[in-house]
Amino acid sequence: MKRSPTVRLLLMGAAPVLLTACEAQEEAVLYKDATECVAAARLTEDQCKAAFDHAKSEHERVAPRYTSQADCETDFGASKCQSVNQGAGIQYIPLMAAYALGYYAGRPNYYQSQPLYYSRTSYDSSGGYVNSGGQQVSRTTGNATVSRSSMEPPARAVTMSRSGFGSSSSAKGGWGGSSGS
Amino acid sequence: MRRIAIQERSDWRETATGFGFRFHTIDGEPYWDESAYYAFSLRQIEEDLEDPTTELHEMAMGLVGEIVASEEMMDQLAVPADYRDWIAESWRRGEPHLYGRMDLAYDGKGPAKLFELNYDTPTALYEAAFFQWVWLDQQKARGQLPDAADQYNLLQDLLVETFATMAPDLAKPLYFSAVRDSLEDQGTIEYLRDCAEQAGVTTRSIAIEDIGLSTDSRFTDLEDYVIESLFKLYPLEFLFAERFGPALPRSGIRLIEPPWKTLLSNKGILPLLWQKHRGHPNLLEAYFETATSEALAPGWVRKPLYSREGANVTVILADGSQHVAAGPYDDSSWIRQAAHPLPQFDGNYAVIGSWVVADRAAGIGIREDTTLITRDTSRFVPHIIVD
Repeated sequence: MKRSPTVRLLLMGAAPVLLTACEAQEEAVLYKDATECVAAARLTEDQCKAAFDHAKSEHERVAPRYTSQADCETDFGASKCQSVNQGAGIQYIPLMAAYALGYYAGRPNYYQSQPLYYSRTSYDSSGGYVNSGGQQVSRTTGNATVSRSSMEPPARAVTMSRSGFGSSSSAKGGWGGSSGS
Repeated sequence: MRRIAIQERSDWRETATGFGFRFHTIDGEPYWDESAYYAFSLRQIEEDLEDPTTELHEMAMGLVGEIVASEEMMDQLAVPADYRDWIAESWRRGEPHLYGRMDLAYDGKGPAKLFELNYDTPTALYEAAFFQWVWLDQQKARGQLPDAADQYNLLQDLLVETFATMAPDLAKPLYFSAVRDSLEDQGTIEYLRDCAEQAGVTTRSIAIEDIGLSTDSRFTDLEDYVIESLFKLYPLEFLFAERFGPALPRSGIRLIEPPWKTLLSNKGILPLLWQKHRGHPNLLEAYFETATSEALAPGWVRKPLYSREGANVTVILADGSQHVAAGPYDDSSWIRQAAHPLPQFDGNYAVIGSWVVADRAAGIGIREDTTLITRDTSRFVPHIIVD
């Protein structure tokens, strides 16, 4: 046969067929702060502090953002949100509740750290730690097996401009309204 | 290779709607046309289309390393100087590519001739990969086509497989982007996104106009998340010429198609292929137009280096008749290619779009037009294999 034995659509069709993809798992550790990290004795005090400082420095930039304090507190709890202003007006972000260290596969002893937030609504509303993208990481601190993607949360940046692409199609006279060929 | 009339499925428009095919009719004109189909023999498909596609693709890929190492060739292709290092780097790093379509003239006998490579932003994918497949399946089930009828169409399998292969090295989510108001381009990226999801890749979509640029020269989505991996159905040379273009090389973004793919989508690849493989049965004679080139002679075609949908192409046939397609691409350099008229079937000129996914020949889609130059007004006609 010179053609695909089956074809399917997940998103495009009126009746999607959903496949669950297996995701790579990896080991990670979660600590509430540098003190808990040092107590676990897996890393040196310097490593614990460096990882904590890194997560803390990322925190305000990457944390989930809300336009209202009430919405933020619905997800993270009363008095668990802070206000920030990064040029887009006042926004609310949850307090950093822990930090996670993931181990890159194939790179022994190399770790990255990221801030975590304690979400009341995660894990079917039983609560747990989520990353800056809102992805569930673990219910508790300590050792955990996590999905690799949760250790690579999406990065954020401060957008200064949009509409810098897409002008050619109109500049070229809307050629069939299409850019492909 | 024959063109055979067949009854349309009475419910094909409902089927199209159910399967998300929203551009089967464009500006009131039919685009998907199942009032006929093309029938090939297996030998025609394998020996005359599949094998040459593999060979032409390898020949084209064999040129990329030479081009990125040659300022002279980069000049000939009019690659903007500011982006040359970035393009070359994407090749040296081996950034993988997804797909391309080569347009072939073929009439059922003799060698197929390469018209051009659409290797940066090929469309007509969903209709070839998916809707054409469904058409055959349903027409067989309804007794309109023989049970033994097959199709040269491994597109979906290979697309999903290629996304799965690329996935480990791609930052997720993978964004898919095209011009907001093009139904056809949006439909194409919707389908590709679907294939990526089937391969387990997390995806998002964003209109090309909505992409943002951050204070630290990164591209962002509407929620300020950094776009690290982007499939763009938008010509790389357009991106270069636009306001955010200069940020591309330092943004760290991974593009699909990768930057080096623009070298193969450039019509200048045709004279370069001819220089290296002069006389190859699947190539048409081609040259760069220079300041000293004589006026276009009968039997020749003139094409801009950067052009899509047949725009700005001029053909003078051996009989002296001239065929011109107007268009917006009049500001670049030109190549000349020996004229090779498309075969005519029942008054329709047919061009074969032969697909390559990753590096494998993957199937065909046929477009027909009533003029010699295949334009964005052409119709997509399905095909089968029967012996």
